[in-house]
Amino acid sequence: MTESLSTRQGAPAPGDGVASAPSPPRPRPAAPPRRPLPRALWWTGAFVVGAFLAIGVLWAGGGYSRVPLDRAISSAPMAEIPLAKNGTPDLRALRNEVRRLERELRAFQPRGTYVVIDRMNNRLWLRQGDDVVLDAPVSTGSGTVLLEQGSGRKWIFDTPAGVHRVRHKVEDPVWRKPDWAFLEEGQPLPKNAGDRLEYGMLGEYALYLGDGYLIHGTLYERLIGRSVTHGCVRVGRDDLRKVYASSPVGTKVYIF
Amino acid sequence: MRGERASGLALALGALVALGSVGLARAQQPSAEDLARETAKLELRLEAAKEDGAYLVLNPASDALVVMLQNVALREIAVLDADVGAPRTLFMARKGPRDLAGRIWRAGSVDPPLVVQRRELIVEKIDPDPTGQEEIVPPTPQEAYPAPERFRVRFEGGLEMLVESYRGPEGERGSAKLGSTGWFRERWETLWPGKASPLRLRLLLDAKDAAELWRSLPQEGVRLLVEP
Repeated sequence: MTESLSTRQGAPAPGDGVASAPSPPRPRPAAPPRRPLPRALWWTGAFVVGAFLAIGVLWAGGGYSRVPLDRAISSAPMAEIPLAKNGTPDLRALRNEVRRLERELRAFQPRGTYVVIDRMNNRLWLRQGDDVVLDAPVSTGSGTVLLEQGSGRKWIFDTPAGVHRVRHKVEDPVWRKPDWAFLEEGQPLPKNAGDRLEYGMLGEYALYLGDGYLIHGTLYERLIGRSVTHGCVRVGRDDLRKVYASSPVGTKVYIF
Repeated sequence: MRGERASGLALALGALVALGSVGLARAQQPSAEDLARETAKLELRLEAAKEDGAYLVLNPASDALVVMLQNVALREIAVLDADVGAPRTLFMARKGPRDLAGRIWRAGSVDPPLVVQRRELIVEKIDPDPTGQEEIVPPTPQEAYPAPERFRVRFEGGLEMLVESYRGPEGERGSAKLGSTGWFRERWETLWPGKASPLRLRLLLDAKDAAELWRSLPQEGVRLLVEP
């Protein structure tokens, strides 16, 4: 009843002192026959691999073609070639047309120095033809909207883009404060015109561009480079001296 | 006798030189095709100059993108690298508009756009004591409008101008090579029909120049002239 399983199978029991003969190799149990993959699984696998391959080819074959710019512009457009009476190209007419167009384009070019103002980056350049004479940080319009309730008056403090001219120039300019300056400060509008005048606020010089817009100096040099003005262009003292000295009345001012 | 011979020789030489210079001048004269091309180029420049607002001129010969207003250069930006391409399908470039240089590209809209921040002040009543107000120091343009690493301007007619920033050592030219993210991004864009523009002009600019260009571009209605 207590006979162990190993004794029953002929293996020596521990402690019986009998050297046992090597047991013959046990026959391996036959491997179960491999079942073929179900057809559906095989097709699914093939589909997944195929889909990955297709996406890979689509992916790798996508993107953009790349041609260097100078090689991409191989053919320049051509204007119509006029013909002379004898049927040959009328070179004289073509030359005249080229000269006329060049003249028209030259008419846009400013003579001498001109001022360029980048109002979104707060920079001013003084240019002479292709040369940049001065590159200076400035302050331009803050973009603030001031609305007076009741009257409905509204001001937008943007520096106006476009082509302007220096209308006139003033040393030690006096600021005649407009209504918005009082409203913004929460002060009543003065009845006396003299109460609108403020000295020293505009720095040493002012160049008038029209419609109340100026290029001028400032007491607040630390704010140069920030958009803080009511539409005027504030320039630092040393740069303003150069701009004032190099820009006679009539100088074109390009604001973009 | 000898003097006569010498003067005759000098005369003949002079005639030869005159004939040669006339022939040379004729040979150097531009052909009708050259003049017609020059006319077309100038007509485009004039057309762009006559319209309102600033516009961009890309000059492949000088590797410069110029901001212009009424035919006046406002600002030149060095182009470190530029290429033109069309979206590809299975390694084949799709056909797009080919006349990159023969027209003014208009109505370009910037993506992502810059939205101008406007503070609105409503004056209701007179404040008798404005001294208590704190001075507000507004941010610089760089702080207020941080520029993206890359931006696009999509023009009417199918051109897309992609501007990428290059942040390399100063003075070093940019590389046309795309990073791995760029490679994947391009493929992702072109995988979906209708997402990619039929013609793409890619410009690599110095990061500072690219940021300043993004801020100063009109957000709608950008015009671009690619010089032939």
